[in-house]
Amino acid sequence: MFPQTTMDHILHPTPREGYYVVELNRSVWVVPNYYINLTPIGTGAYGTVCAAECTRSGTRVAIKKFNRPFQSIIHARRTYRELRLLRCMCHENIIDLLDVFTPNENVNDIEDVYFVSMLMGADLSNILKIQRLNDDHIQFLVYQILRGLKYIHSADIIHRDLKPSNIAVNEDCELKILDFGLARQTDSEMTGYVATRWYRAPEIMLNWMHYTQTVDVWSVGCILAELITGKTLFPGSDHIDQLTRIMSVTGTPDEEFLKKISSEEARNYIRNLPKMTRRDFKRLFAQATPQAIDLLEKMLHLDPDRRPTAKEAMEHEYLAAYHDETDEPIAEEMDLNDDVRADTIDEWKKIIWEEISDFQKNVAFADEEEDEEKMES
Amino acid sequence: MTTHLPSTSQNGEEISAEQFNRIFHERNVIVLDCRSNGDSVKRANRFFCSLRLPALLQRRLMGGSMRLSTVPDLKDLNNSPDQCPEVLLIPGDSEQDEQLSAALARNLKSNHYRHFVLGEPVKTLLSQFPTLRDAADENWNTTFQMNSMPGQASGQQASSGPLLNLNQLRLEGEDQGGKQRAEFPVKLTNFLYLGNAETAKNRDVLKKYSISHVINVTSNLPNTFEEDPNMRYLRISADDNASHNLTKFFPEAISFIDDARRNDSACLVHCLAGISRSVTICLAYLMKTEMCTLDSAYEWVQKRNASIAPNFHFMGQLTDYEKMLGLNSNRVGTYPSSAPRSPSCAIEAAAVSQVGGLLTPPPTSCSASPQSSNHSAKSFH
Repeated sequence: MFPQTTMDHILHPTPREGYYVVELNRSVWVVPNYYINLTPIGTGAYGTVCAAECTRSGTRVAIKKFNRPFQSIIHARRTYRELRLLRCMCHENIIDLLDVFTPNENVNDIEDVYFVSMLMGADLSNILKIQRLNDDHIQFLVYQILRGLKYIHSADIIHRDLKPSNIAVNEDCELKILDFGLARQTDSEMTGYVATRWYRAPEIMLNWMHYTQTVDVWSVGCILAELITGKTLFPGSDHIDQLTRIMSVTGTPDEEFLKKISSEEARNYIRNLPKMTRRDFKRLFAQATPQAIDLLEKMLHLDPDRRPTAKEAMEHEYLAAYHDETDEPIAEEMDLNDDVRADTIDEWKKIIWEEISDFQKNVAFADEEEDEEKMES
Repeated sequence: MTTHLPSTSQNGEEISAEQFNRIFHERNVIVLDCRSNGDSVKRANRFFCSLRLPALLQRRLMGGSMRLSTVPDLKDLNNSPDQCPEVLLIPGDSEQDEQLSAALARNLKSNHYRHFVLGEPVKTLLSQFPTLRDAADENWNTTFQMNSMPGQASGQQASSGPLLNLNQLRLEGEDQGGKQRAEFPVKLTNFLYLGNAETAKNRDVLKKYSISHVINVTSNLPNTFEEDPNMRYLRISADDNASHNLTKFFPEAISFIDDARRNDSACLVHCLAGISRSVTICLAYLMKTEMCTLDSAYEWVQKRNASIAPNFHFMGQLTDYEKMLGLNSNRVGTYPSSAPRSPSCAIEAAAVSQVGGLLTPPPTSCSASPQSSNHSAKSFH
């Protein structure tokens, strides 16, 4: 029989200095003292999210706790890449990384990783459940998605998982793209991830060997359609149903498109599907403006080579009210440390620990600079 | 007595608190409050329709590239100037707010809207005319309804602050399209299990399900217990992409699984995630041994694990295999499917059967019709 104190220690290990323990939905969170009033707001494939107040900055934040980031090398690599990406990106329409911490005391003990970002009021999937948006809202929101996409695409990053729940919006219609967990994964690493397929470009499902940034533009097209109609455009029940639903709208592909699929077996599979003709978008989106329909036609082209880039889509007349090329920045050179390699989980722990420590040092340095400025003024 | 009012032909004229109050009550106006919301006391005195514009929109306004009428919820300004309500502008109280006010004023002027700028502090205005606070709500609703577009809900109320109303939101963490992913291993028949990388290295699980045979459909995962004399392994080196032909491995895999069955034990088929490669092998086995179509086999496996997704390269190979087996596919005209079909009776019998005796090999004839192929297969005895 264990002494009670030992049991308590096992159930709730004493947090290190400056941290405290809070239990939420049968999950234990260990966070710095300056994050208070934690409230669960969501769960995703690889983490859970809480809203909290930061007493340091006086703002509301979102804290994301990763589910077992070191359970496999693939998980560890993905966590590192997302951390690295978020540190390197700086854009109004992309989620900012305000803080990253681990409550563990040293590199060998590291088990949990938390990211902190600005709390937005909701994501698009929440908004769509309760509110129909007017066309001005839709224009502004879609413009901001494309504006963020132009930035990440200019850094040779493909998001690959754009969907309403990865688009954060606040009351003032400010928008930020979230969750870069799938960006820069190699194809073989993708196989373990069962994402929502409803917004995925057909060429991803057809296993093209090299797909381009316009896979994200396809996702934006699906999102725009959903903002207009209030309903998911392609709610496939599995990947076969997904492809069938897409083709029932776009029509079965022509030979020019099929030639681009490298797998003869996949080509034959599609050829055996029943023939379907392209739907009339004017009827499919009867409530949309002609400009919106025209943009949808372009973004939902089956052939990615004929789909516009994010930059080109922003030039479309539907978004003319907001388009200003002088205020649609591209990324500076990013050092994403893609060449970092590790063969064991322990090595990944060390790499991630060092990345978190480096982040903390930079934050401390920035704080000191601010203090100096205050003293000077 | 006639009251003197500033000439409406002059745009952007500064007006006193008294003039503001008079215009507000006598004319059809929109009030744009440009003050920031940093001061909680001021917030209590704020008029509805405050301009809480995101920084991006503010820059578009200041740059002149965007018409004020495109700001969401200010659609009234799209009406022709003759019908357009006039605009009462309350300037901001910080330098940035001042810039926004100036940009708005320029924007309104360049689009020929009549507007007036309050030239005194809001505090003065509200202390002299306290009824403005209450009158504002009543008047605004009336004003908005008068300008409702045809077909627009007459009861609709404009947002008094934010562009989007998020108050009704209860944030939920539900995953979209979220079917429950099955826990591995997934039992497909009494002797056939589908698994992932985790399953393959869990000795307790292998023992629990009498798994003595393992098909490893990866090029890089180890055969964890291959030194155990009681374990047999078949490696099929394949990645989950469009450059591998799994068809040539089907006969060997089928024999391997049948060997487990003949020995009263079970076979695990796994890849990295148990989604594509291993599923392909299992589908081929079910098609071959139960002489059922790809659709039937697919539905059978999917019922037990919703997350299966053989890539279309492998699906193409399975379709070709189906033809090679001579199974009569009813695929033409079945997509999109109207209703899910029940799995074949034979497979159902396989799952229900608790007897693990030796099984006579199925007939090698490939000419069965779809009707008979669903009913002619023997039950396990």
